[in-house]
Formats: sequence, structure tokens, C-alpha cells
Amino acid sequence: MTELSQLIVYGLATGCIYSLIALGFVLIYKATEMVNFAQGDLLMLGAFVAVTFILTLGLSYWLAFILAVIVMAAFSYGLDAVVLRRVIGQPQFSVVMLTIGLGFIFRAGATMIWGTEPYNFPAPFSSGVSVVGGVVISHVAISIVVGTVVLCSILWAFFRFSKLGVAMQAASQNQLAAYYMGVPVKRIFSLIWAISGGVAAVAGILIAPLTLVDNTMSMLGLKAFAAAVLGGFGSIPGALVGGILIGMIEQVSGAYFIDGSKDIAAYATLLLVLLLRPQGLFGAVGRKKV
Amino acid sequence: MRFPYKTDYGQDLDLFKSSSDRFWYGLLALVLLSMPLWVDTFWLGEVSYVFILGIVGIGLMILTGYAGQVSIGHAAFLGIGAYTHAILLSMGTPFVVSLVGATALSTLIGAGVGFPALRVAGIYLAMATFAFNFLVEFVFVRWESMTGGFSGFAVASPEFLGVSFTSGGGFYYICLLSIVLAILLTLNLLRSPTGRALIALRDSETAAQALGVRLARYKTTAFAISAGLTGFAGALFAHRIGYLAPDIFTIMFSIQLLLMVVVGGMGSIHGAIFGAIFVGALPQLIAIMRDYLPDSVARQPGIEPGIFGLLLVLTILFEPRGIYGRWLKIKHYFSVFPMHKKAAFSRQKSYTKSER
Amino acid sequence: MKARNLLTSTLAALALALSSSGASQAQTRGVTDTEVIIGSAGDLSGPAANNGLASAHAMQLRVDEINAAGGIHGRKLRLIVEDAQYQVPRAVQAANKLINRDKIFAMIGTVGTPQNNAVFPLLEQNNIPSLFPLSQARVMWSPVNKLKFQFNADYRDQVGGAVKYMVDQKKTKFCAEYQDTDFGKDIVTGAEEELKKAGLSIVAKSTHKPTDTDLGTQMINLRKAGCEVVVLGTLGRDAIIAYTTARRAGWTDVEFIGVSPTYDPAVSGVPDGGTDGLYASTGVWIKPREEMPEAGRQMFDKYKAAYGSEPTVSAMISYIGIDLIAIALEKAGKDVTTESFLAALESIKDYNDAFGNPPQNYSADNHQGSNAAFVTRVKGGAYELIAGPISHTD
Repeated sequence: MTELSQLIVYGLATGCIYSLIALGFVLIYKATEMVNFAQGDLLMLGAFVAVTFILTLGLSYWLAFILAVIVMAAFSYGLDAVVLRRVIGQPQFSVVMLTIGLGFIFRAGATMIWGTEPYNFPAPFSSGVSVVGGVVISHVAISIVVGTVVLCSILWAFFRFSKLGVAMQAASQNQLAAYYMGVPVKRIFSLIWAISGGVAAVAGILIAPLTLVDNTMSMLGLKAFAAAVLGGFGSIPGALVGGILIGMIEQVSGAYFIDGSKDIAAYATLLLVLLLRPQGLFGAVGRKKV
Repeated sequence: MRFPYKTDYGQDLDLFKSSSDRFWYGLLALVLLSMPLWVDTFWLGEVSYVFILGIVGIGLMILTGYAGQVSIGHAAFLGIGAYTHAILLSMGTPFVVSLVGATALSTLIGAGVGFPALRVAGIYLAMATFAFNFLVEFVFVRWESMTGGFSGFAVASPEFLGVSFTSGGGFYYICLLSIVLAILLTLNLLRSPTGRALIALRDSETAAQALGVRLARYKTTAFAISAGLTGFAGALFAHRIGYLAPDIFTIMFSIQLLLMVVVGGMGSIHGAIFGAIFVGALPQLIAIMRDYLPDSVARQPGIEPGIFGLLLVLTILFEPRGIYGRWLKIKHYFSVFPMHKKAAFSRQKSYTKSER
Repeated sequence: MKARNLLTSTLAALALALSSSGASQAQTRGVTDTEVIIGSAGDLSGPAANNGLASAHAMQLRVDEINAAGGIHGRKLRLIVEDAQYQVPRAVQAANKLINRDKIFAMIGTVGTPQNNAVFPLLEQNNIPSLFPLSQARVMWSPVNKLKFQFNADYRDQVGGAVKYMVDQKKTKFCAEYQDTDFGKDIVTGAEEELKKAGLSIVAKSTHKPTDTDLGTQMINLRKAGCEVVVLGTLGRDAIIAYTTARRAGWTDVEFIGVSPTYDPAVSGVPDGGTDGLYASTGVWIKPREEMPEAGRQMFDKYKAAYGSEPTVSAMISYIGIDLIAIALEKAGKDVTTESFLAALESIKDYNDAFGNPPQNYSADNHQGSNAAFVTRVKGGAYELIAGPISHTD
């Protein structure tokens, strides 16, 4: 029982990271119907920026955290305003490829700016552990879960109560209608990119104490992509549940099935879910109108 | 744009639309056939690689560009073809037979993968193929008695009458012949009812269904043909690489394959070829260009993927319809010179196309 | 001075005219009157860029030193580095360019085992030596192939040395946590072979993917098996994750030992001493400055001045590699051919490198310079020597 609880703790922590990245995917997809394959790269950039603030400029963890999120949000806003806005209305897969190309550039740029050596990410709580009823919980894991919960609450409140949040919801539900109602759709899209970039930065900084910071971090995006689809691409609660589910499934299958099944359990589950419920767990059923 | 005046139903079926087409393709054929005479081994190898990728591109174009089904798992089919071919060769099967075997097996598996495509569409289908890629990679790793596991194994290179046809000029001609056959097959397919059904499927599933196109049948067909071509290319690819290991056929490679059809230009065979050149030859051109730069710049880490990414982004930004789209525009500009109108290709103001 | 130069060049021209009838020299690929061209299908980007880049820097450093000293038999070395990005198809493209376009004499420092496996048949077709690859897999030199050379302990030797050390410390329950790759597999095979000698075997094994960011499950499984030593088939990142996960979970009565990729400053430099107590076995040990021979110290200073970072193990390996090539070229004489070059490499005995590693010996049936390994352990943010050189075959 202790063992299962321990697995759940591990799964929850990794799952939360998948959730956060998936959230970034979904926010952008919901609003603009673009699939942003560079989400993992934004996460990597966020972690690198935070590393610079902490190691080079000597700022404190918390200040670096906030600044890195702001920098990444601004960067993503600019990215949409300068690059992605130009391809609105172009074939969907061209846009996907565009984000893949951007991913290439981000990774190359990160190597040029920060070099090829991996960085150790210092966090104030990186080596702490607590033991609750025999289950070991590292403080990094706690920080990830708490960070995810806080971020999601903020986002939920923002979308629910602020005028801007409601405008964003409107724009993602029906662009044209929102536009006629006076919502500046283009700027809203850029703002959604900004939120998504900020979320990626949060995910990157939260997971950085667990891994080294280098450009292989961007590979996390792939598994999170599976999480987003599992939950139903385009559903925010879906992304969160999907991420945590994948984190858990990985841990449990790794412990109780044949060795190596941890790596493909996520994808096998995904295939199964797609066969049984093609629109994902939380996706809306919809048939394209003609 | 030129529209030939058709006087005969046969003209609709002609492979070449006009006599100038005939002339240019003839010239191209001559150049390609004589290539081993005036090009060194290096370029011969690279052009062969572009041909192999070109076949994959055509396969993927049938599926994605014509039938509208997106796959980010084609490296898996490439791997299935490569492994099957290499394993059959190592068992002593003749070259041609194992080539057919590799094609047949990947066609079958392709049809199997096409099955979930009946239920899922768009991004979900892409994701299913994405997961499929991981599962196949897992099989390559775990089925050690067949695939050699992680360590992989060397691909045999059979000889015919003492001439190796898996390297140099011999291999070049095999790849050339293969891609010509693949193009002819695809052109014929597209002129047949099946081809028209596939295109109808892409343009509107609902409308196609209403007109009596059987979705299940044609989606499966598209997957099977596409996987078959890719598996065939995989067999050639095995000889190009010379050594098979599971980490060749990763999801990143699948993404590069998909890149080909999008950058080349969706919905045209030209596009697949242009895309193959972009993905196959461009990195090598960048590498050569790097030789002429001072070491401090050329040894800058990340410069190659950086330039590749930049060119990719610029290509899509300035020509979302792909390289072939731009090619058509340039051709049009010269063919009507000096009467080119700026608005000739511009479309109505567009909004995000919704899939909802 | 000038007259003498004229005389030598006239003599050289004469000798050339005479020998051209034999045509042996003109046919050696990659060797011209003024240059010897050496190629490397390394990595300047992608996941292994750290190793590839350090290697490229160090090779260029040694090449520049040799050229500044007048080259070898009047020929300068020219190094061409490609960027294979840790992808096999790109490595094959790079090899095609180096072999068929740049016409290299020898290949050095190809990064990655699958890449080397794919590139080697192409080299073999063209009779090009494959020297000192940045992969310590056994297949890089064994079974003996006249074109393949590697100079330091491969992964199996390293893990052999590590296991030997741990067995000497009276440890009996060995486990393995390794990457689900050919690399990880090589480590486990090496550990099993060495354990067999002591009548032991691995009691529990578990694997992970190179990209995994969490090894909680694996550590729980291994802990259940009651391991005393966990052999790590890991690179840097996963070694840190495995070690810190186990220690944070309160699993302290166990030692972890990795191989050369774990022997990395990023691993020992984890903040707050997170990796204190982790062992790593390596074939190339970076001595403390004061114990290093003068030549090594100079190289370290030059490297740091030129590239702003400390040389890594990969940098040292490639630096030594170029040095060995230069020695063999020197020995092979002015009319070097691939065959005479290979014979010269095989004749190198008791070679001591600039960094004070164990001496290397080559012969016709041994293409591995040395199989001795060092056992090191993290203390206070750096690796410290515990035992070695240990050769598991002694």
C-alpha cells in the first residue's frame, strides 16, 4: 500500500508537468486551432531564462521565477504578433510545420546562447524531503503539484471573472461573432500565446530542479502532446486530467508490468482511448458541418 | 497559366499535358539517366537519398495531400520496410523477392492502421499514428531474435553478376527506376476512380459520403498504398543506411517526413519531390556551405539545424502553399510576361478555417 | 638558409618525380603534398552536442599545435568536422561527404554507437581507418578489424573495473539501472561478465528511456530487491535523477556506480551536494591540476582561454586521438599509405598521453590502447579518485 501511494506521488508530480505543457497546447489550439509543436521548446527556453537570472544575475529563485514567466509571456506575445499572425487562414498543417521550424530555431538559438553544457538548476527546496506515513515526498514534487494547482486556479479565475478572460473565451468559441461584438481578435490571440508561453515557463522552472537544464528538455513536449489528446484536444480540464493520468499510468505500469512497459504505456493507453472514444476523454462530440 | 485546347477524350488521360511538358520531362530524364557519367560518387549518393525520400514523399502525399489523412508515424512504415527487407535478405531471399515482401508487409500493416482512421480524424488521427510510431519502435527494440534489439544489425548487400547494386551507380539506377515507377503508379492511381474518391474524401468527407464514396474502403486503401510505398522506400533506405538500429525510426524522423509534403506543397507529386530535396539535400548543402565559412562561425554549435529551421520558417511564411506553389507562380509570371497581374493568385481575405 | 631551402625542395621534387613511377604516394587518399585531411562526423547540435563540440574544439587545438610546429613530414593536418546531430541518416550523409567529397585520409571522433555502426561499412569500402570514436562500445575495436582503433577502456572495461572494485569491498548483491539502449545493454553485459568471475550475478535489473525525467518506480523496484550496489548504465541527467531519487527516499545503504558519461562535471556539480557519494568509473581520468604533467596543464589553459570552459573527458579523448594520429603519421614516413599508417599505429608501445593516463600499447591483434579504469567518487562538488587504474583482466 505504501508502495502504491509512493508511486502515486511520483506519478502526480510528473503528471502535473505533462498537464501544464498540455495546458499550453490546448489554450492555443482552442483559440486559434493551431497545434503548437514548439510548446516543449518554450518550456526549455523558460528554464534557460530562469537559469540566467539565477546563476548569471544572481537573483533569488522567486524573483527569477516571476521574471522568467514575464519574459516568456512577452516573447510568446511577440512570436504571435510577428510570425504566427501572418499565417492565419493558411492550411492547418503549414502552421504546424511552422511551429516545428520555430522549434528548430529555438533549440539552435538556445545552444548558441547558453552553450551545450547542461546547467544545474538551484531551487531553495531542491534537496528537501518529507515522510508522510512511510511515503517519501520530495519538496520538488510538492512544489510541482502546488505550482500547478495555484496556476490553474489563477487561470480559472481569470477566464471566469475578468473581462479579458471572457473575451478570450468568446474569441475561441466563435471568432467572427466575437469580432463583430468588438473583441480585438488578433490581440486576443497574441495574449493567449502570451499566457501559453508563461505557462510553459512555469512548467519548465518547476521541473528544472528534477532534471538538468539543456536542450533535451524540449522532448517533454511529446509526451505532453499525448496527454493533451488523451484528455481531448481543446478541453482544459481534459488536458489537466490527461496529463496526470499519463503520469500515473506510466508509474503503475512500470512497477507492475514487464520491464520497459513504462515507456509505451502512455501511447498504448492513448491508442485504446482513441479507438473507444475518438474525441478523447473530455472532447466535445462534433460533426463538421457542410 | 496555359490551358491546352483539348480535341480528344484521350488528352484528358495523357500523362503530359502539352508538348513542351514532354520536352522538359524528356530532358530531365536524359540528365538523370546520364548522371553517373558526369557526377562524382558523393552527389550520386545524395541524389539516390533524395529519390528514396521522394518515394516516401509520394506515399505520404497520397495519404495526406490527396486523401487528407495526416500521419506522423511514417518512419514506422519506413522501419517496417527496412527491417523486413534486411531480415529477408539475411535469410538468403533474393533481392527482388524480399523487396516485394517488405512492400507487402508494410501494405498490410498500413491497412491495419487505416482501420482506426475510420473512427478518428484530424489531430486525433495524427496522434494515433504518433502512438503507433512509438509502439513499432518498441517492437524493434524488444523483438531481439529478429531485429537484434538495440544493437541492430548490418544490412547485407547482395551482388548481381559481380556488380554491387546497393552502392554507387548501380544503387542510383535502382532508386531512379523505383521513383519513376512510384510516380507512374501514383499518376495512374489519381486518374482512376479510386484517386478521385480519395480527393473527394479530402475535400469533404460528408459530401463524399453523400455521393456514395465508401469512407471505410477508401481510407483503408489510402493508408495501405501509402504504407506500401513507404515500406518499399524503407527497403532501399536500409541499403542507404547500411546498418539498422531502432533509434533511426523515431518520431522526429516521422516529423521530418511529414515536413517534406507540407514544405513541398500539398496535393501535388511535384511537391513531394521538392520536399524530398528540401529535407534530403538541404542539410548537406548547408554542411558544404559551412566549409567555406571561417571556423569560428562554422563550428558554432547548432548552426546547421538553426539555418534549416530558419529556411523552413521563411518558406512557410512566404509560401504557405509550399515550394510547388511558388514554382507555379514563377512559371505563370514568365509564361504571361509581361502581362502578369499582382492579383493573379491572391485569394479572398481569409479567416482561420475552422474544423469545428 | 634560402639556398638550403631551395636544395631541399629540389631534392623533394626529384624524389617525387622518381617515386611517381611507383605511384604509391599519389594514390593515398586524403594525403597531398601539403596536407593530410582528417574527418570527423561529430555532433555540433542535438542531444550529444556537449561531447561533440568539446571533441571538435580539442581536436582543432592539437591540429593547430602540430601545424604551428611545422606539420608532419612537411604536411599540415586539416580537420573537417561535420554536424551529424546524433541522427543516423545525418551521420551517413556526413560520412558520404567526408569520404566522397572531401576525400579524407582517416575518420576520427564519430559520436554515438549506432552512428559508428552505420558509418563503418562506408569507411571499410574505401579502406579508411575509423579511429578513436566517441563511443566506448565494445564493437568499436573488437573483434579486431585492421581499420578500427580505440585507445581507452570501453564501457565493459569500465564497468568491469567498477564491479571488481565493489567485489573487493565485499559487496555481493548487485543490481543494474540502465538506459533502454545499446549503450545500457553494453554496461549490463560487462557487469554480468565480471560478476560471473566472482560467482555472482545481477539480482535485479530495471530500465528507463534516455528522456525519462523520473525514476521513482525503478528505484522502488530495486530497493525491494535489496541491492547493495546499483550499476548505472546512464548518461549524466539520468544518473543524477536515479541517485537523488534513491537518497531522498531514504535509501542510504546502497552504493551507485556509473561509467564515463556519468563522470561529468554537471553530475558532480549538483547544488547542495545532491550527488555526494556517487561513484563513477572512467577510462580517462582528469587529474587535479598539480598532479598533471606539464603538457596537460598547458592544454587545459589553452583550451580554457580559447573556449571559455574546462576540457571534458571527450575533449581529452579527441586531443589524445589527434596526437596518436600524428605519431603514427610521423612513424609511417613521408610516403605514407593507409597500410603503413595502420602498421605504424599498431607499433605504438608505451605511449603516455599529456594527461597522465595509463600507458597505451597496440599490436596487430590488439587495437585497444589500454583497458584500465579509474574508480572515482563525488565529494564536495567534484570527482575524487578512489582506486585505479584497475584492469579487470589482470
